Amino acid sequence: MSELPCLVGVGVDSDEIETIAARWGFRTVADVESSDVVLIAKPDRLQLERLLTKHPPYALMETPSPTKLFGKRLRQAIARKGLFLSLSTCAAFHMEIASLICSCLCQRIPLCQQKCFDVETALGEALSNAMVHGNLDVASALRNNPADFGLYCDLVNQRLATPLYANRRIEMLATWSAKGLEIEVRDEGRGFDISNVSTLPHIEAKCGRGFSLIRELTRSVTLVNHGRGLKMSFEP
Amino acid sequence: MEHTVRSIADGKEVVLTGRLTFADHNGFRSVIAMFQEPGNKRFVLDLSGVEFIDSAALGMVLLARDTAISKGVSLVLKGARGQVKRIMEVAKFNKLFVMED
Repeated sequence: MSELPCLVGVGVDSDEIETIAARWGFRTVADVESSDVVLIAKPDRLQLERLLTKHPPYALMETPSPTKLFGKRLRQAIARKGLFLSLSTCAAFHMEIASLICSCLCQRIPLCQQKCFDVETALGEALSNAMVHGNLDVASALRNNPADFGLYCDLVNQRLATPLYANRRIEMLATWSAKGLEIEVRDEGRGFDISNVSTLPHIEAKCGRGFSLIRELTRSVTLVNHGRGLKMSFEP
Repeated sequence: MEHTVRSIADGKEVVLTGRLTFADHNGFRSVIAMFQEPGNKRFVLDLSGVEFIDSAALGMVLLARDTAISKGVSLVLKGARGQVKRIMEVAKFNKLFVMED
């Protein structure tokens, strides 16, 4: 019988950790150093930075974690020794997670500086689309002219303060091999319609550049989960 | 993103530092509001301290440009480097802005 993956909680009640471990087949451990999966309450950037300097853990998940998180992508991250992250939008929004994830990946995979820029840029675009347009459900058209920009700012701030939007999850799974790096970003929004971005944006466009930029910087990009996910692959 | 402002001949120089991303909408709002103040003929955005920019922030720089044009103010982008320079090249910003080293 293969050994169960190890679970640790940071700032999470030990009874809760034991319950989750029993339900989903984990072995609880006392320290982060020997864990495969970390459940963390109210994470901040410094904590994540510290946790991500070590590898394993292969997964970091903010609590309370919905049951659907203990599924395929988490198992994939553990089996392939990748990295799975699941955070609420309000926690992730101001954390600059693209840079956090990218510096963590750069420690594990040999990437030249140019490639690091490309991965961080593409990942940043995927995450901001997922958070702003997916989970917060704010249309980018409001960034089209200076008169509407104030409205855009107010709406983003308001949604970040509304649990219905702010608690929606953002997920990232990265796996890598000699064939390259694959990153999947998922949100809980309405789903992105690719037909809106079939043409290149106008040079003066204030929005709609993100997806074109991703296309330009990745080996391939595909929409998954009815437009609520984006799978990007990069050359090694 | 952090920003500081200093007076220059005919206008203002705004020095931006850190990372310019979608999460900086509130910071950009105050920068754009500054463009609407009367009495300036020239604005310089100093990007030499910016380490990263995303497409949402590019859009916000373009909003600043629209505001500047509507107020008859000239806008110069100064000192873009690294990833910022690369992304601005991809976005062909040299066709829209005066770019200084």
